Amino acid sequence: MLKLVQNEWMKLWRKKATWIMLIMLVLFTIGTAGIMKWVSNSDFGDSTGGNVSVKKVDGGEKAPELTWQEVEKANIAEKDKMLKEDGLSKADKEEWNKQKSISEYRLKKDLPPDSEMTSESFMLSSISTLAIATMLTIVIAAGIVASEFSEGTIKMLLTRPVKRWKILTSKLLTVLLYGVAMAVVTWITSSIVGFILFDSSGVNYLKWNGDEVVEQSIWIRSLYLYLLSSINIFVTAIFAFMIGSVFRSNALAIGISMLIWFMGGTIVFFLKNYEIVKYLFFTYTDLTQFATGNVLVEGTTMPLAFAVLSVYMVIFMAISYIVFTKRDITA
Amino acid sequence: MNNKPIVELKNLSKNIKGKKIIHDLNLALYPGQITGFLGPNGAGKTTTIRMMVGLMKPTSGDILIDGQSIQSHFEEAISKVGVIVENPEMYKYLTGYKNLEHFARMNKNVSKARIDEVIRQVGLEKRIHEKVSTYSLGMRQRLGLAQALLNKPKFLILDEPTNGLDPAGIREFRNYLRKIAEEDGVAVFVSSHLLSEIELMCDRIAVIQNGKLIDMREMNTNEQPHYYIEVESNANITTIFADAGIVYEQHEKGWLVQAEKKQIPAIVQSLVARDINIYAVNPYHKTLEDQFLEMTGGGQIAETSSK
Repeated sequence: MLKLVQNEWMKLWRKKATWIMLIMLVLFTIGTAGIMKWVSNSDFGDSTGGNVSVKKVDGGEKAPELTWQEVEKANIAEKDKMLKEDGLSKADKEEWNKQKSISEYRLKKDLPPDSEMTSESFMLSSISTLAIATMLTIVIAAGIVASEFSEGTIKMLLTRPVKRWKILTSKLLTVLLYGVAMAVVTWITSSIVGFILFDSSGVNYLKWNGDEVVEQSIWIRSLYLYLLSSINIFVTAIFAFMIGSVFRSNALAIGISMLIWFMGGTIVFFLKNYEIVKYLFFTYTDLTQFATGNVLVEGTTMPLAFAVLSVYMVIFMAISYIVFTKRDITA
Repeated sequence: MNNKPIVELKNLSKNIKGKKIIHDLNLALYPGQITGFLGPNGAGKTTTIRMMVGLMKPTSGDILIDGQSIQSHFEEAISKVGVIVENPEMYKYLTGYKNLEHFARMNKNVSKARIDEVIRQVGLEKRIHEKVSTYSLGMRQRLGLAQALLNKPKFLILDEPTNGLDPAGIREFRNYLRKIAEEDGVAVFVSSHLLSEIELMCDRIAVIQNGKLIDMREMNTNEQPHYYIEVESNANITTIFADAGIVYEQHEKGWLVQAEKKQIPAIVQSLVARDINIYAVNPYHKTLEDQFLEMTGGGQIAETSSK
């Protein structure tokens, strides 16, 4: 099996396209950081840091200078008011509570919020760059089986003394390995770029665990988010892998996977108010929603997400394996 | 020669979408023998070959390779087989060497030395480290043969192997096949449209039509000797043949007579005695093409027999 994965890995990286995609991913990560630093840094409030040359029109709509303590106090008062309102949903209540507690914690421990982009905040925001890594993994996952059919090499591959399920497994492992590699590349690139372009504030991430606010190292936090995102990449890869094993044309497989992947969010949005949305694959293709609190569909939880995703994974893999091992090769 | 067949097709049938593509095919291939596989387009050659290498599953019947079923013992059975199915499609973005390395990893006992050995055998030493995308068709065929030989197969199955080879390459290829068949006792199964090629290469031929094996014959069995005789056109030659009790038929501008070599002087003398001008008397061999057309009735595309 190791040799088979070695084969697939070699074929993957001997293609120019694979390298181009990797370079794109790195450039995109660097580009995002660049845009944040030089173009839209003004979004991060006043230039209290002093060393960043953000030019701002004086006066204007900006309220007179407030200290961060005043801002946090105002925030707490506002949340208090909101919490007293009637008919709050449980999720809303939880969210206001969380925000209020974090503000209180900042005041108590004298921890000013980041007033501008720091290495730490970039690390956490870089999680969105993983969408690119996911997309690349879809391309690879959809193409790894389909391209053998497109190029006609499948008949050379399947007339070896290796059973078909072993070949498929080696391809699946290669795709998952690729997904992890892309996540690691994104993480390392963002860490390096984040610490070069931005100043480190040295603060920890403030985490609300439901009862109280705790401090968490930024590294652990970002690794946690990346881990959740890696699971996203895995499940999306297996989905694209299934499409690629069913459709024998490379372009078609990649196209269909991408299309369905992009449409997934829209479908979830339209079915938002129906119970069925809780059992859709696409409701759970982003697991970081449970970590950041921006849950897509109310009433879904991480355990439910894992349960639903596991069922889908079993179905997707079963389809891939059955189709691939039973098929008559006529290519 | 060994009498135990290395490959046996037993009551092999294949239905595709309700149509019977292959009917109850039985065939045995023996070590050291080169068998040609002929049939008009659509007769089921490729389907048969694909079933023999496990790319398609038979609807019923089985294929035994060295006594092991390709269906229940795929890995054991196929490890004794070398395959080129139609054009050998290699990974174009890899070098020839990487391609061989790739396929070698999928076999249990293929060493680096063995890779180098097959490269030498197919004469690709000079270009083996270049990408396959830069290869000519003939070089790809050679690489295809190299990958088929990697595992020292006991049974070599080739679909259109000489397609794209130059005349020197074809001859070399033919001699090489002969050599491994004779020296290593490899059973070779070749399908080709080039009948003259099959004729030069094979010990026997199997002919398939409409999914059925219609003929199986040894190539060097002595057919009835024929002579081609061409005389002046207005000669009343048929009566002479009839009088002499010779079987004859019209062929091109002259006549084809079935006669032994020793009968020829007498025929010529009788023609000369009647003052008939003789333009040509040649020994005549029916080519495989003639035989093939005779057997398959013109070789039109086989009609799909539905059931």
